[in-house]
Amino acid sequence: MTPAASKLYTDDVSLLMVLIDTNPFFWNSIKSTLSFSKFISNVLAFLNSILLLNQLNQVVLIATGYNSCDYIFDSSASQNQNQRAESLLQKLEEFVEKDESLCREDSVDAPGFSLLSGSLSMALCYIQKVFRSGPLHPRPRILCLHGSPDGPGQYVAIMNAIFSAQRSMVPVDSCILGAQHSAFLQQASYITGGVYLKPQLLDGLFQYLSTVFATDLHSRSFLQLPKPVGVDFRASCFCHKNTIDMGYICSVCLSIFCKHQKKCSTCGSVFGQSQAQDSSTPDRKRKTSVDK
Amino acid sequence: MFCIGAAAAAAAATLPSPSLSFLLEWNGSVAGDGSWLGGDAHLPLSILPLVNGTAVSFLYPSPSLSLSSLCEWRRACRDDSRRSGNRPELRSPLQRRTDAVASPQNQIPIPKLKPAGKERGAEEGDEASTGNTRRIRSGAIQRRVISLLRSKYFTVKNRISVSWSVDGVEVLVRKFGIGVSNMLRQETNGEERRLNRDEEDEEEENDRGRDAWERTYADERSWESLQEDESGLLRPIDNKTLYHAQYRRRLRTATSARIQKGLIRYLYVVIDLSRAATEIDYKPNRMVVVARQVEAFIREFFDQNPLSQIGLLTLKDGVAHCLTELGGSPESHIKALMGKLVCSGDASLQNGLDLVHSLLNQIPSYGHREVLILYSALSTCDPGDIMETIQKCKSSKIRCSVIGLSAELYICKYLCQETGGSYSVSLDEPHLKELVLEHAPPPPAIAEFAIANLIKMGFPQRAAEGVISICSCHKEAKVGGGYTCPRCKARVCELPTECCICGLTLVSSPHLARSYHHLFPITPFDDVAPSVSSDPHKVPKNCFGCQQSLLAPGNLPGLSVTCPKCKQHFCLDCDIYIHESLHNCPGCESFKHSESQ
Repeated sequence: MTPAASKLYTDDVSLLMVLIDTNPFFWNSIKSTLSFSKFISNVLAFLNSILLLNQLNQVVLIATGYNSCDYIFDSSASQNQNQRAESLLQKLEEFVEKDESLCREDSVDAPGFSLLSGSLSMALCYIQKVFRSGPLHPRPRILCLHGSPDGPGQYVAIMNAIFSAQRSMVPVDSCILGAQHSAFLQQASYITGGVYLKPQLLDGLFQYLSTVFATDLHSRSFLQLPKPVGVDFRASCFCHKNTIDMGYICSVCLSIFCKHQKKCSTCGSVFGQSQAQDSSTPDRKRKTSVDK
Repeated sequence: MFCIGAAAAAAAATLPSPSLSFLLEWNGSVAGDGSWLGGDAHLPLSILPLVNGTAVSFLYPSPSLSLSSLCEWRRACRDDSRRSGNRPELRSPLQRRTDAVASPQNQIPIPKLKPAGKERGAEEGDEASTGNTRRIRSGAIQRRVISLLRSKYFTVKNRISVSWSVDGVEVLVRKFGIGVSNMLRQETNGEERRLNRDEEDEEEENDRGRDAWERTYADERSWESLQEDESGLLRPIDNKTLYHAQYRRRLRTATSARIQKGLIRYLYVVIDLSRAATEIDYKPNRMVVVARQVEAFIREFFDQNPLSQIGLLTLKDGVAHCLTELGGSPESHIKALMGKLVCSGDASLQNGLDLVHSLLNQIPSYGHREVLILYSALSTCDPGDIMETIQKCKSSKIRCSVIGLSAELYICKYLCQETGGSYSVSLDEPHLKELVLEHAPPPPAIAEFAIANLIKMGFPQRAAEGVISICSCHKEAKVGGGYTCPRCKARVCELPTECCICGLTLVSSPHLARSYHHLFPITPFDDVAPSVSSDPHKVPKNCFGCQQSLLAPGNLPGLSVTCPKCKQHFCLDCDIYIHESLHNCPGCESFKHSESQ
């Protein structure tokens, strides 16, 4: 793993990996404010403007579905410049149909998380391929256009992806379309140095996209981009997948539990004198608790 | 002073003359086929000593040729050439030893270490006649011999380790794997050292005589990175497949179900800054190389073990100094280390271990106590019995690991064996880096080493930028940043820490999450059998991760791997990236049914 800083970047050429949320349950819930078709037309205009900014710019679109993820569009692979939008829309339609067919009856009642961890992992693999391609390559970044709530089950996978992105210096930008903030994407943008934005008015999505997310990484330093309004660093516990702000940590494997346990469900260690470390005595200092 | 080397050296106090090495040393140039390294024993090696620019050729082996006679000859040479340029004849005052040394026709022409009893008589005889000369030369000569052997003649493949000590207790020459297992130990005393000093200066001059370009090539061994292809052309070694195989092997050893790891570690890094660290076999010298690697290690360590702590110790002048206390900030450690890079005196393993022992006794019972020693010296200069100290470390469950920079030392090996650590000796700088970084991932936890416990921790939220509040750790008003303790709502500046008000351990969930890939390792991918991959319907055209074509040039099926869970195919590059850095399988993460497991 060579540090990405040593790589020779071309200054202002970007590789933009756009992850769009195609979760039907989410789009159904905000039908009144922003329909999926309107969203797609905004995204199309945005992608076109990116490609127009620099002829070497590259755009890859990955759909984050409810049951699967897939590559939808790759500007470096498509031959015909004029039918970009058509091929993209056609591929997207196929994907949505396939995604729907994978849907099982019994899982429909779930609130509907989309598979962000999968699409992030795919995007990072693609970026690694670009890194491997040679010393001169576009500077990559990831933009998540996400609306579905966070899936607690994906916590570990998303964190792994975030750290990998941080290590290869790939910023993860996030634009939240849903009603709630996403703790995962807040952390992703904070850790990787990307921009986190939750637009007030979804009608003007294109304006948000083009003013905040269109600039290349080099020019970013000259702009006043939105600052994070506090990052939610809470974790979700392993036992109930609840988000907690205080919990118990297994000293062996660092698993998080919301209640006191006798045995760690992850690593199988049996907890000995739990009272001693229970921190029920708040003034207990580390140095004094050692005497065995 | 109790010296480890001295006891062992007594057994082999007599020095069998490894004449060849000595010759190599002072000639500086050797013409030969190198067969003495283990090939054809009966081929004589011709040696061309360059004396004042004149090549003198003679043949080795000659059993009568001993070091002392060569010494005399050389001196005579020098004196003589100063006067007239004539070459004196080579005298051999040790003819009577002919029977003791094996015939050169069927033996590797390096005298082997004889059983002490048999050889002693002859050796003593030598010493009586020429002992003086030999004593003067031996230290300086050996040093140069060895540095020469290291740099030029001994390659990594031969697995040879040669080492010596400048002024310490022993002179040690060990060779592995070439059929010559000579181990010389020689006790030197202060008087000899003084005598040696004059010679040393001379030797240094000789070294400078070697051209700079020559030295570069000798040190870098650039020829090792080349290989010959079928048409006889030289090209750089294609290490992609090699690398992949290497990584698979590493992966296989690393993965086993539900392994317990010691994730909360308290590690002391002990750096040997004795005189031995000034050696220049690593460029520019050992100390600088070690410091560089320690810096990289500290960063990597905190990346992989965010809740662990490191402290730094140095060994110098026979004592151990504590450079930094246990702490979680990489920058402060690196700064302290870089400010204190001076070498002097001897290294004392025992003092270092004693200090570590007293420092590590204070840490909580759930933490894993570890020491990593980067040892340059070949001896340890201890105030008492080091065995007792080792037992003390063992009973305190301190895991001691040593990385040697010169040669394998028994005492280090013993220490590591007793305490459950690992011992390794580095060959060159990349190897050293590899060895040091091997200690960054958490070691498997040993049940009795640390008691499992549930620790109560808080996950504070980061306050919005631009909010002004008073932090409880520095008692200052600060703008923006900062974290709020979930129990007492006090403001702290940095994570991970302990809340100053309520004592709750505060971490951010990313700190914990960094270690989770150790807990949920991703299954190794399977190689796709050639019979399957030749069927175009079964193998997709592109890698699932990066969309790279899986077809080799010419539309032939290329190498690919498949995830046993989601059955997606990946290219080899993605395979490595997924297992080494990402720790997620994109295929498994992209399908709901597989994720619900």
